[in-house]
Amino acid sequence: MNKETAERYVNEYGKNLYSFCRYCTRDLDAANELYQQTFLVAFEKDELEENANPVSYLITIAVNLWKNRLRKAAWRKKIADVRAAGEEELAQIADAGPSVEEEVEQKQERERVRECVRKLPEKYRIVILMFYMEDMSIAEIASALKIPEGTVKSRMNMAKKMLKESLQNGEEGFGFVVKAVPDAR
Amino acid sequence: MEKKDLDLLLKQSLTPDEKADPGLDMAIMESLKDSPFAEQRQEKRNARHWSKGLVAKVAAVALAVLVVGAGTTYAAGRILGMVAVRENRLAVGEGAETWVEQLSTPVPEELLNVQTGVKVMGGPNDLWVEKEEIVFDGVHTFNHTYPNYQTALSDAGFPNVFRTIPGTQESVVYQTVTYSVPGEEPFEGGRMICLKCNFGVGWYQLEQMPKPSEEPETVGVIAYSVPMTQSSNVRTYVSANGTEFTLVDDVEQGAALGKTVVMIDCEKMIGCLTLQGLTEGEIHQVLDAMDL
Repeated sequence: MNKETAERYVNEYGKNLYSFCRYCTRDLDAANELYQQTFLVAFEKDELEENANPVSYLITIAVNLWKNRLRKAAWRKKIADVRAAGEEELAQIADAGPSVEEEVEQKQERERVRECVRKLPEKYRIVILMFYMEDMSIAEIASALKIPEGTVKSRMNMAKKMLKESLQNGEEGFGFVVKAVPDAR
Repeated sequence: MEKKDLDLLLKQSLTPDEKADPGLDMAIMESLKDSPFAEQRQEKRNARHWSKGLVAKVAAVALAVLVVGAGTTYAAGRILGMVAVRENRLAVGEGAETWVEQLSTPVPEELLNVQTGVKVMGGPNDLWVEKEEIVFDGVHTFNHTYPNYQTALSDAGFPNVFRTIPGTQESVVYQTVTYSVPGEEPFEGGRMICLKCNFGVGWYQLEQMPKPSEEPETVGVIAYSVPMTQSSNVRTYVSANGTEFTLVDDVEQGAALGKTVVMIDCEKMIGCLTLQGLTEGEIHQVLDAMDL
């Protein structure tokens, strides 16, 4: 793959991959390293152009790298001295509400959901991120994680149940309004 | 909270809106530019390159030197040896511990005057898909590409060294080499199968050669070596069927993925297994799958 093509992939899919890495790792340095490593592996394998869903392909590599953590040697790669994104940036939501008050409420609400997702155990967090953040189908997630589709579904249900409980219990001072409580399944 | 509310809230909250620092993206592009893989890939696509210095040296002493892949050079010596590990070289064969000391640091390969011959597609009766001839300074290399390992074994007459092949086969090349030394009859320089498989997030490659004693063209060739950038983390692993392997990491400056080299000297073959980007567990899986 030439440099121009690689640059196009970084520009086009960098946000998807980086967002996933931040939530997946919950650590800025690890996210930076995973992000860089994922692109390098993808470029090395040189199969991105043949892939119908580059986001799914990149996320699959990232998940595998994260799960394997590779060996120490693979993580010796120096990464650039990058500026840490502040928590304010994490909370930024590109969304416009009808009023300032509602907008603030929505932002707070979404940041709290994000915080709850971050606190999910890894195996649940990853399927939630793949499904909701990266728009991957159940089949794609199953293929990426090498688990049956039924397992993906049960992890999704369990994750949502845990999220719902967290939100209802008002963790982190939630201001979320709970309506009816049917089973999330 | 209703299901659809949670779904909607998750969708709205988990937007991929975080962007890496531009410095990180620049570092990726720089790494890509400097990556040894980029050059290796290009080399593999274009041709097999020969080191002029090595070829001249080999011709002079009538020993075989096979360049078998991206940056891997086998030098055949006269002393049969066992596995020897040095900072910049691994060797197998009886007496290799002594023999390896006589070898200098690997000579960087020069990409000089390589003539790539015409590629020929295999006919209906051929097991190979494509044949390519590469000529450099009197060395003729024929690369036959096969659809899979098993068909290459059939043509080469080599024994199968895998119970199962982990991962997916990316490329299978059967390579034969002929030397033309001025004033002498052309002579065969050896043959090998190079199997490359993708596995996990990385890959592995087996370069399989017959035992020299079984090959008329390699009579007198009694040991093989492979250059290393920097040997480290030497360890042994006893596979599920009781074979003990020596594993050596090769540390390459700036390389994105860890690389491990396993040289194999057994009844079935002389081989070099290179594994890149594999976890220790995945390396063990590959070794466990071997049938030596």
